[in-house]
Amino acid sequence: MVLKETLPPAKQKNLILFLAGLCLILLQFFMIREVTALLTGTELVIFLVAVAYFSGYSVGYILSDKLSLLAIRRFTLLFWIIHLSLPFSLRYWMGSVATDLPSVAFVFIIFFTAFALSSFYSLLLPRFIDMSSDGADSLASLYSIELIGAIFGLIVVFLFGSITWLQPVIYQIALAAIVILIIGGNKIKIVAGFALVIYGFSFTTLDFKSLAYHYTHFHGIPGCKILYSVNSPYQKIDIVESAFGERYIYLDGKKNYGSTGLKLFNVFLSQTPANLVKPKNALALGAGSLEAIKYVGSVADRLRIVDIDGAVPEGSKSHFKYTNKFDEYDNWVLTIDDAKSFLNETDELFDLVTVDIPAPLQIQTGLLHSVEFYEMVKERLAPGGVISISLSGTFKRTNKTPRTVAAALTRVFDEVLIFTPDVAHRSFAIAGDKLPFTREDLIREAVRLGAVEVRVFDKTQAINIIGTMPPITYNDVSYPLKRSIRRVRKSYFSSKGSSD
Amino acid sequence: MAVRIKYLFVIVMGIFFALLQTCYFFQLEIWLTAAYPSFLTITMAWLLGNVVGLRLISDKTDSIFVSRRLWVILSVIAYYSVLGLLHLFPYQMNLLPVYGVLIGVSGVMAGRFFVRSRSIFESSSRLFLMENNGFILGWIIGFLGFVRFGISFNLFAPLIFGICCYVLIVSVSSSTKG
Repeated sequence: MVLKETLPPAKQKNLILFLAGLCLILLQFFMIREVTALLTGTELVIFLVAVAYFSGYSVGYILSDKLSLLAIRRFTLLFWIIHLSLPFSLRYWMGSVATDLPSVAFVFIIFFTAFALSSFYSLLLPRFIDMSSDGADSLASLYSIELIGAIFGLIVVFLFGSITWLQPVIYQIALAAIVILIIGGNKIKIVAGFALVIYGFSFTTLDFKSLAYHYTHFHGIPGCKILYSVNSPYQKIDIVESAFGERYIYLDGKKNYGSTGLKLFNVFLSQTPANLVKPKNALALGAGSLEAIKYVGSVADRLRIVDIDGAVPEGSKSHFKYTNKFDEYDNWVLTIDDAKSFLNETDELFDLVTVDIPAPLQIQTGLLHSVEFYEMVKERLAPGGVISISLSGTFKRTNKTPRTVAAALTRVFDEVLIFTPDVAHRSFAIAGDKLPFTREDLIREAVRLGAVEVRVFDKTQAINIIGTMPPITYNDVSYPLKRSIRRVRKSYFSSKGSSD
Repeated sequence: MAVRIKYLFVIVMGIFFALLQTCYFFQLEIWLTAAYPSFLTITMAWLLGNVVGLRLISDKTDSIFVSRRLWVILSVIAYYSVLGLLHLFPYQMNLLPVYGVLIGVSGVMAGRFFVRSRSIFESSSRLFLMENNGFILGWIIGFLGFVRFGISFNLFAPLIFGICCYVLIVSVSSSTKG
């Protein structure tokens, strides 16, 4: 009864729930992405983080009718203090602990997600409903207010998602308002106002410093400096520079470009087939560092680059101009679209299609290494046209990923040549129904572009090495999860490396 | 027995909601686009449908639209309509509003469920807890089911769990009357 009397009045309750709904959506977008990237977002990580986040709701529901109002106020204060440190504190945590105690760092982050991210918000709704006297009516009205807050949050994300600092700052404003409404009093208003001003003004500095700390200590990039960091609707994109001037692209915490091997990646993925095919019309699926412009655009009449995420080419234009030289060519266009959707809609035929898509560590990227996807590409190939793709590792019997990708290619295309230039430390495949060059031409070109030794496998030899390894299909997308389980085990729970 | 059925009912409904969401998501991702509008449509339509189910259909009327059973059936029909349209017209972005409306129908079902099930437990926190536990379970089933069986899983799972929900609603309704 005492609790009921001290509950916020109806208007305040409504506002608290509206803001809680808003905060839950913003958290999903900027913190779940952050946590996923901190743990190098493979499918297993995405799965565990999502389960932990939804478990947080259950934690809140359990606490809802167990805490006194005083305890809720204290919990609100504690929760607010913890959340004022986000997203910076978790980066420092991973940077300082993960090197020596990776499993502890990993488990802590998952527990943090389950207990400290969403739990506070979910205890409010049932508490308010159960304190009201009008049963189902209060559930309908109060729950719908929280949902309207969530819808508003979605609109905020949609309209302002590309502005890095805006989501966390709006989140902090909404949370501070909830804290003021629950705790009440002038003191808390002053403290909250002060905290918000400090958070807002120091966000960019803290954001870049904490990220730099994380990349220096967790990813081992010495003297790291953050050049670009964007939370796009699809992924977290970071472009970082080491003390030696080396630049790297990280997508959801996974290195996409930057090591010596990855720089040569585009030489063998794009330049080699482009020089051999001399395409009139070329297509690059995946923008990456935009080096396709230099390597393919220089020999093709026309090049179209398709990427689902405009933030990647945007970052590459700003920070990799020295290597992609995008402004020296005018025969290329950029299309922001889903690759499958684009392939289905276009009526163009291409002489060369390069697929610069991250390794199949997530379902989304796995689907772009599937039999069905290659069939879509095949339909858009001109007579004598070829597809060029990385096998995400060295093609041999003990490496599952290259065998999986090769299994899909050999199922779809009549001719496949897989080649492993020694300097690239990975294999590539060029496939089509009739390749317009020979095995010897391929070796010659790869050597001309810097390889010392090149191993080449034709389709028959490839099938022999692939063995019984099944390809990814729309009816079996298990490979990305299996690979990410191995990767998480290797990165966080094993002292020894395992073959991938 | 009645208590067990109540718990089972709420958990299975939670599983059903999560399964529908994951199945909608994967189907749209494969046959429409993996781009952001697809995800936004699913989430927005589901939330809006939920609000409609909670607020716009008064529980005090005798209208057939207050029935949970009806909305489970409509929800399953909506899901398979989306599936059918995606297969007939793959990658047609102009159908996105249609998908939004159909997904919204499933969202209405979730809203109706919460309003009509408020009195099942003494506290609403128990209702939300059990539903959320079911949702987590459903999310795991939906995710692993898709990973293992791909689009074949999405073809059958919503129907199977829709039937389970319907049967449980009938059981809970009759035990409440009894």
